[in-house]
Amino acid sequence: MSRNNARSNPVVVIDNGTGFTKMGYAGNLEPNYIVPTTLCAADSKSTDKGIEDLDFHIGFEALNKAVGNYQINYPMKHGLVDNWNNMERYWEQCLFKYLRCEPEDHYVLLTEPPLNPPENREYTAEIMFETFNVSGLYIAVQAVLALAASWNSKKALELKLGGTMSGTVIDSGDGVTHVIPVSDGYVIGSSIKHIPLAGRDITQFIQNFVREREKNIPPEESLLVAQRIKEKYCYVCADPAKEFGKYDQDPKKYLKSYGQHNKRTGKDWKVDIAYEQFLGPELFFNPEIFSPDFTVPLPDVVDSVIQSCPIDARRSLYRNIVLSGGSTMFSHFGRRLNRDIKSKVDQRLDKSMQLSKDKVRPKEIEVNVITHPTQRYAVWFGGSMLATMPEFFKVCHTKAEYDEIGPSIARHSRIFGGGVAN
Amino acid sequence: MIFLEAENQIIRETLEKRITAEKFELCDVSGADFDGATFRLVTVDDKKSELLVSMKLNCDEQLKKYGMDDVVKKAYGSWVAPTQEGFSVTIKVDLEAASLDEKLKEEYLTKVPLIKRYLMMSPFATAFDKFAASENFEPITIPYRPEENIYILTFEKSLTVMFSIKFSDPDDVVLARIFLSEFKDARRDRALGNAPSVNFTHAAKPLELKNIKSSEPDDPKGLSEFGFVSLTLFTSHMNEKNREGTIDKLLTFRNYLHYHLKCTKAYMHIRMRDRFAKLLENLEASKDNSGIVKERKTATGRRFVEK
Repeated sequence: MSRNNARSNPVVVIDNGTGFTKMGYAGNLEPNYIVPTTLCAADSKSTDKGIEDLDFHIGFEALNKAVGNYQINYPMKHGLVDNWNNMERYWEQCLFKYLRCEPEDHYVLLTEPPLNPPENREYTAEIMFETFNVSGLYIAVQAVLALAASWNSKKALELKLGGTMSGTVIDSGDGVTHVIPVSDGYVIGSSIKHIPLAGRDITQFIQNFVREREKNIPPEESLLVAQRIKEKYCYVCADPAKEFGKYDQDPKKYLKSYGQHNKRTGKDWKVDIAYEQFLGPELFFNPEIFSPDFTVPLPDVVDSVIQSCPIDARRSLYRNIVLSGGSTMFSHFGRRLNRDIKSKVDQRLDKSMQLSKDKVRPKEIEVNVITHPTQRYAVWFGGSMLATMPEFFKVCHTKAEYDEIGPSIARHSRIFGGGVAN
Repeated sequence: MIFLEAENQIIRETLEKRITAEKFELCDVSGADFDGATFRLVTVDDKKSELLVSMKLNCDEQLKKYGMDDVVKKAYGSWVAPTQEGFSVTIKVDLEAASLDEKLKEEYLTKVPLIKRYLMMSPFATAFDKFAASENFEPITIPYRPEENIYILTFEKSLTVMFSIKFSDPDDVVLARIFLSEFKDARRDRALGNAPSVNFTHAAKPLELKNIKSSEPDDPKGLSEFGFVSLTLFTSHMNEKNREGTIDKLLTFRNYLHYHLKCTKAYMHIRMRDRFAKLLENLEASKDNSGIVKERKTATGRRFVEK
C-alpha cells in the first residue's frame, strides 16, 4: 500500500506507561484500550516446537494466565523501556491483536518521558520501521502532549491559550509526580522536579486513617475501600483548619457513609467517611501530615521549578499550568493550586517593591492553572488530537526517510508549532 | 497467538461496556480494522439507548454484486438500520433491551463484532455454493486492498483462492517464501493431509490468472513487488459445518502472513540481541587484566599492608 493511502487511515496512538499502556486510534476522546504493561511468556526451555516465541500474553490476559511455567514481566521501568525483547513482542500483540491493524498501512505515534536518552529513540525507530514496516513514526514527549490536551478546554480558550507550546505540566499518576516546564515545545530538562507523592500514597494515607477509626472494614478489603473513597468522595478544600470546624459544627451535612456486602462472612458492613475526604488530597499541599521525609508543598515546588527556568520563559510558564494524570482529578484541585501559587508570586513582587522603595513597579504576573475533563488520559488524548491535524504528517519520520538515512533520524523529533498557533 | 481473531475486539468491548453501564451515555468511538476497513460506534440525536455500528470497506461496490446486502440481512435481520453516510453498512444495537435480556446481549456480543466477516463473505459463499452444485462460474475478483486482489476460480475441477500480495520490503519476500514452504512440508504430515495445498510464486503471474483481467502490473519490474499465494480447497472445507471457519481463515490470511513475517523478524532481533550480549560478555572476559594490581581487602574491610 502506498504512503498516501496510509495517510487516509487513522493514526495509531500508543502511550506506553510504566503501569498501564493506553492505546487507540486517533480521533477518539478516550483510548480504546487501557491495559497493564505486562507480558507473560512461557519458560522457553519447556517447549521447543519452533513457535515458542509466539507463546505469550499481554495486558490483563497476562495477569490472568500467569500460572505454571508462565512468568510475568514488566517491560517498562520508571517510564523507560527496560526489556527490548519483550517490548517488541508487546507491540506485536498491541497492533495485531488489540488494534487489529496492518502497521504498514498506518502512521504510528508513540510517547516518551522527558529526558529519554536518544539511543532509546533509535531502538524504537529500528523496531517500528524494520520489524513492523510502519509508514511513519512520531515519538512525542508526554509533557508536550499533555499541554496539547488542554487546548480545547474552556479556560484555555477564554485565555486564548489554544495552540500554545509553552507551559508547566504537573503530571501525577500512581507512583510519582513530575513538574515539567515546556518552552516553545522543548522541555527544559535541567529544571524538571519530581515529588515522591502520588496516587498510591494518598490511598495508603486514607487506608491508615480509616483503619484506625473504623473497625468494621474487612481487613482484606481495606485497600480497595480506601481506593473507592479516594476516587468517589475526596476533594480539595480551601483551608483545612476551617474545614475541620465546619465538620464539627454540622457533622450530619458532611459525614458520608460507605457500605458493602462482605461475601466471605455474609454480613453487611458500613463505615463513616469523615475528614479523609479533604485530608487525602491535602497531602499535596501539606505533605508533612503523611511523611517527615518530604515536606515541600506542591505549589512551592511548581514555583521553584519556574524560578529555575530562563527568565524570559517564566511569564509564559506561570500563565499556562496544565494538569495531567489521575491524581489531579480531585475537585477544586486546580483552584487551590492556582491560589497558592498566585499568593507566592504576589509576595515576591511585593517584596521587590518594598526593597526598591516603590521605585520599581513590576507588571503583575498572570497565574493560570488549567483543568479539563480529559485530564486523566491527557497524554493519550493530546496524542490523539495532534495526530488528527494535517500538520502531523509533516512532522513524522517516514519509512522512506528511514530507509535513506537510518535510525539516527529518530534522535530528533520535529516539533509542532509555528503553523499550529492561532 | 498463532491465528488472528475473526472478531473485532474494540467493537466487542465497547458494546459490552455500554450494555452493562449503569447509565446510557453519548458515545462516539471510531477505529480501523485490517485492509483499510474503518468503523464507528455512535449514538445519534441524543437517543442514548441506541448505538449505531457502521463499517466502511474499500471494495463494497464489488461485494454488493455478490449479494453483500443479503448476507448482512440474513445475519442481522431486523438489526440492519439505514446506512449512515460514508459507510457500507449500519447496524442498530438496542442497548436498553440488551441490558434487560441476557440472551439478546450474548447474541449482540457474538454477532456484531464479526461485522467485517459478514460484509466480506458473500463472494466466498456464492462461489462455494456454485462449486458444490458443480456449476461453472466466472472467476471472481475482490479488490480488497488498493493494489491487491483476492481471486476465486475453478481450475481443473478444484476451487482455488488466490491472493496477490504486495511486499513493501524485498526482505519480506524471502521470509514469506520460507514461511510458506513450511506449509508445503506440513502437508506431508499425515494428520494434516486434509489441509489445502499451498503454492507461492513471486514476481510472475501464475498460469491460472492468464485469462483474467487483473490490476497487478505486467512488467517484470512492477511485478517484482508482488507475490501470489494460491490455496486449493477441498469440498470438506466448504460444507456447511466448516464454511464459516474456512472463510474466517481466508479473510485474515494476508494479515496472518504479514503478522508472522513480523514475528519472525522480531524473533531474529531477539536472537541477535542475545548474541550481542554474549559477545560483549566474552570480550569482557578476554580482557588482559594482568598488569592491573587489584587492592585486596579482608571481609571486614581491612587492607593488607606490605611490610
